[in-house]
Amino acid sequence: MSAPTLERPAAGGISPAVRRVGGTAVLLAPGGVLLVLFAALPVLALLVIGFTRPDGSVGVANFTQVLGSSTYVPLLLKTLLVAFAVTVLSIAIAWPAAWALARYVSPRRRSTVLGLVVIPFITSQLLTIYGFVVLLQAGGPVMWLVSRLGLTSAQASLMYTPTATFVVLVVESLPTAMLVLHSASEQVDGNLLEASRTLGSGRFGTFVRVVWPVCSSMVGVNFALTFVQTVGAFAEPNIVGGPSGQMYGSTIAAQLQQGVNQQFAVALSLVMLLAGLVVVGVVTAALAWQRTHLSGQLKGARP
Amino acid sequence: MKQTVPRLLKAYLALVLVVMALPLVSVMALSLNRSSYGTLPFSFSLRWYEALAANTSLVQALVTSLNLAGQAMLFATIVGTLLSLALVRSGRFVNVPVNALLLTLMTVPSLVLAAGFVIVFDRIGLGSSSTSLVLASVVTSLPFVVLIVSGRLRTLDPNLAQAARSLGAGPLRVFATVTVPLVGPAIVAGAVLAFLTTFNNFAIQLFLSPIGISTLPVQIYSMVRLGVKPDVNALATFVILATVALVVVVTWLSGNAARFLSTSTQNSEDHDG
Repeated sequence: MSAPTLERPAAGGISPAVRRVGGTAVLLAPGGVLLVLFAALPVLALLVIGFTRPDGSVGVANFTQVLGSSTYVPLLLKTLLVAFAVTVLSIAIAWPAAWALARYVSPRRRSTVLGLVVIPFITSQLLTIYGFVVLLQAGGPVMWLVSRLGLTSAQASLMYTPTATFVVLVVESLPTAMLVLHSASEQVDGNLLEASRTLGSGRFGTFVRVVWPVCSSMVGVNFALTFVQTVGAFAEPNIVGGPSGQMYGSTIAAQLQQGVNQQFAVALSLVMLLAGLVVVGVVTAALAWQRTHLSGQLKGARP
Repeated sequence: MKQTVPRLLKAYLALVLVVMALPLVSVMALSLNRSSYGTLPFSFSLRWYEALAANTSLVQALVTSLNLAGQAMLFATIVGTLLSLALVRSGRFVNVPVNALLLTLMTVPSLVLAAGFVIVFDRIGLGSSSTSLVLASVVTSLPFVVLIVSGRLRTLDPNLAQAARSLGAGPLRVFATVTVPLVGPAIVAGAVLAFLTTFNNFAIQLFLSPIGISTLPVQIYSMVRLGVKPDVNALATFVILATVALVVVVTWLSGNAARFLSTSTQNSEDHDG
């Protein structure tokens, strides 16, 4: 790369435009090299390796093996369903709380409350999962409380069930949803709410005609963020899920760790990635469609 | 009647905050409990903090994690800031592919990304080594630095740099005396986010850690599968308290941790809160 020579003082004779391009190239070089080597190359490698076999032959054999399997396909469908439910539920739980935070909490207190949302948001995922193990295990706080109420014995536990995985995934997704939906709720113009109310809309009508059109694109962003990460979850099912709570990601992780058939693990990952992107694409498209077709008359309401 | 709904919603908000805090609070509370299995009833004891002092593998894992996150933060901040400066100066032919790669890094599940890293590092002969771990961490935290710093750079008033230049300052002087002070907070925010991203990136660390070396998430992962270990509670308490301290400091400095750590710039701009 000849770019560095342009930075020398001797380069005074070179036109400013060339110097500018050279300067940009110098700034770009370290990040560009890193990105090409360790972002573009891994993605390309995934695409290539997925189509090879350990014996060196090339073809779609890995994919036919995944898609023809009576283990992986139901597991993938189950995982997509779980991730969808987790994502929708986390949005449904977080939105009213985020709305309260954006509109009813005084600005002075708001930064403290946001801090309380940010702490779980930035805490290591493994610590959160570990916290749930502590919380849910037999004899732990939740089961202790439940047994004190005489509902079950203290030795019964939610741990090592699909329900435990589900609960952990939902609670883990809440901070993201709170942050995204908080900023979405903030964008709703208070005057429009007031106007809608004065003109006789009930709460439901106001939500459908004023709040939803403004927030739906952020809801889409939230959906994409949470769904993609939840589809790939493997630590949660491995730790709290037990044998029947496994998800597709656990299979990929196990295959990768064995390192025996890397090509097959990659094919599994690609199928998951594609399936996840299809769901996100469909949801995003549906949200976009209803924005243009169902609330066309309210376009002027958007900021 | 008019006040009931806000009051109910605020109570609900408090409930959601409690649910999110519950796992972390219970870890901290039970680190002070005598039981060897983290079970109730509660009786106060500091024995798990003594056990932690004797558990070198946990402390070692924390040191490894801090070290890794520190290195990744340093490199990602420098490279990311340079990259952001390049992005605002260059056209579509650079911006589109770079942004596409950054977006890919942020949206592909870390498990899939880890698979890609494993393949590439195996083929170029680095395998599972500390170098691979640092490189992968730098790359995965880079998008956050770029997003925050370039977002800030784009909203800068170009007249300020223009004024400095017409008053005779060279490009480096303009950068040091005009750009850095204006973009500084964004660079710090990017650095903090790079540190946190690396510290927490479990999937990549699980697959790229060299044999015999565990980062904290990997160590907890291997320990917790054998049941609750109360000395993990004690260590986790320190990590959680450090997180709380970070959020308090950031809130105190910038007024709002959520906006400080937010990667979308439209939130930090034009807001009257």
